[in-house]
Amino acid sequence: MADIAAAQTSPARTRWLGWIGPELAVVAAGLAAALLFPDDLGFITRINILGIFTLSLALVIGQAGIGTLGQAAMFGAGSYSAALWALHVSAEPLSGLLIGALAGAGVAAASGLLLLRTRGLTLIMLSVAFAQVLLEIANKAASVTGGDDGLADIPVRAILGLFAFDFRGRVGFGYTLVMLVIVYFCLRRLVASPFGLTCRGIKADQLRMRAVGAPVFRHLVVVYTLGGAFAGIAGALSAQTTQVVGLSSLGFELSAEGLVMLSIGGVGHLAGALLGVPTFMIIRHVAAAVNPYHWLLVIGVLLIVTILFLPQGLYGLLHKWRTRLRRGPR
Amino acid sequence: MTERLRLTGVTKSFGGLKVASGIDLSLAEGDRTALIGPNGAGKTTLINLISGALRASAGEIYLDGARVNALDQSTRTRAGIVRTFQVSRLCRDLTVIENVSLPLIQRHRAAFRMWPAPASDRAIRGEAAACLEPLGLAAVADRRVRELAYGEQRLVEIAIALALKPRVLLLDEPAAGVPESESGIILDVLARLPRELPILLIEHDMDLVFRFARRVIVLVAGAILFEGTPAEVAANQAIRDIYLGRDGHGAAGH
Repeated sequence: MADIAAAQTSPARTRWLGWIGPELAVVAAGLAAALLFPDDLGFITRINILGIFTLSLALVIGQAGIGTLGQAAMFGAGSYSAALWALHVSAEPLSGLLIGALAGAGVAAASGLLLLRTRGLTLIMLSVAFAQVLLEIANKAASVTGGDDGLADIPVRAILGLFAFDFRGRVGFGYTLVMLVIVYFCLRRLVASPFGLTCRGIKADQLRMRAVGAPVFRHLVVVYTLGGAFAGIAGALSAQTTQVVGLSSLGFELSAEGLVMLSIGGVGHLAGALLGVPTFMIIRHVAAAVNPYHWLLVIGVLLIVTILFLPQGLYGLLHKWRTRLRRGPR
Repeated sequence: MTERLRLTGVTKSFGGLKVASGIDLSLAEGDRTALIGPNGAGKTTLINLISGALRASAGEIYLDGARVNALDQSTRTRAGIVRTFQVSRLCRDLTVIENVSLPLIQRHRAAFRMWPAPASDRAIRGEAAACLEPLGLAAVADRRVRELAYGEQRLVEIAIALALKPRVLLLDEPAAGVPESESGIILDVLARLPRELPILLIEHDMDLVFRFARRVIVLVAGAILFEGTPAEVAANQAIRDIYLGRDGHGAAGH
């Protein structure tokens, strides 16, 4: 309810900041990164895509409290369907995004109807199992998916007929940044809506929500499906910007990394996803460059430190600093 | 008076254990009925059965003449069977006004609206504030529930129940866990509940029961042992032996 609170306390001239301010911050950060590191646009594009993916987790886990370690199922579904769409139907990218979103939503809805009847550890294990089943199907259906080799040389036409994907990845970067900002904008509205508040109520206490008349299961399926759509968009973007899709897009590692990135940034808030992804990616990048064999150790330590000392993640830390600044020095 | 809630032969067993057996009960407009009985008598179980948290193994439950046995808890709540909890079940990280908005969002059918709509959001917030006002909770509207004193949390629980515009209200020990100094506030609130609203109250505090109820049902081992006016219950030697007498003057379970 961050922006509802802002709308009430701040004068009209700063209200637009609450309306679009965080999105502008994302644009500014993205552009600054691109200007400072023009040779790493591929890396920054990957951050944008994982930002969308982790935002979908922030919705599903952070808002609705659905414990899942299988979000890659929806990412991979989006990737493969967008790739197949481009290879066999149309190389127009925006329609590919739509197909990716629909695939992610469809897979989430179908699996959610089963998974979301369970809770806690059972739900986590089932979500892992479901993603693994999809992975195995993609592996076996080699005639469609390319199996272990994946799909390569995915064609992508110019976006809106204007922006052709270039060798240096500038269009890919801009395209994913715009999509990230759109997704963030939509999700921030959703969090501030009655739907979002109901999600947080369900996360807090399902029995309480039944006793206020909320159809808890239906609500969970809807939010899980929405999360699937956003993960599907991320997957489609990955297919379009890298022009390859492999089995790793359905892999457990992606689901787990999403959760780690969200935990580092702060589970309870959307901005946590956007803080956690670049932090994780940059630290991993640097650690892997320093020591290609033991970089996972650095990530592990980082995660432990976050969980022990920053239970609200980086977002919680920044929030604390901001409140302290506003109150003034003591 | 029009009858709103009727139970006929409601029975619940877990394996061989009968926790409710053949319970008949009727609540009409304006009824103030207390449900008493020793710990483990099945009082909360009965509320769970009526509200749909548990399904009855046998027997019928009617609300306004319509059978509700097959409905799940959310649907029964929306139909007007509203309950509170013995131990506060609130969303502790949400503010008071957000907690009270949750039932209003359901009543306004806004739960699946996924974007803010200033007019509608303001209406919900306004109605939530109006629910808090008579309970003296206006000052803490924007505080998180976890920061509230337990007595105030009990009032939020009642505010949520009233926000649902109940046809029947099931209160499960509304004063449980509240220090004696504050229980007067709860009693005040109970006394000011809408007159025509039928209420079934579980309560251990006999003072509260005798002041609030016009009819008392004594539940023992899942079955109704006795039903009558507070005076009849107080005069019944068997009940005194089983329940009232055991702890002296009725503060059983504390």
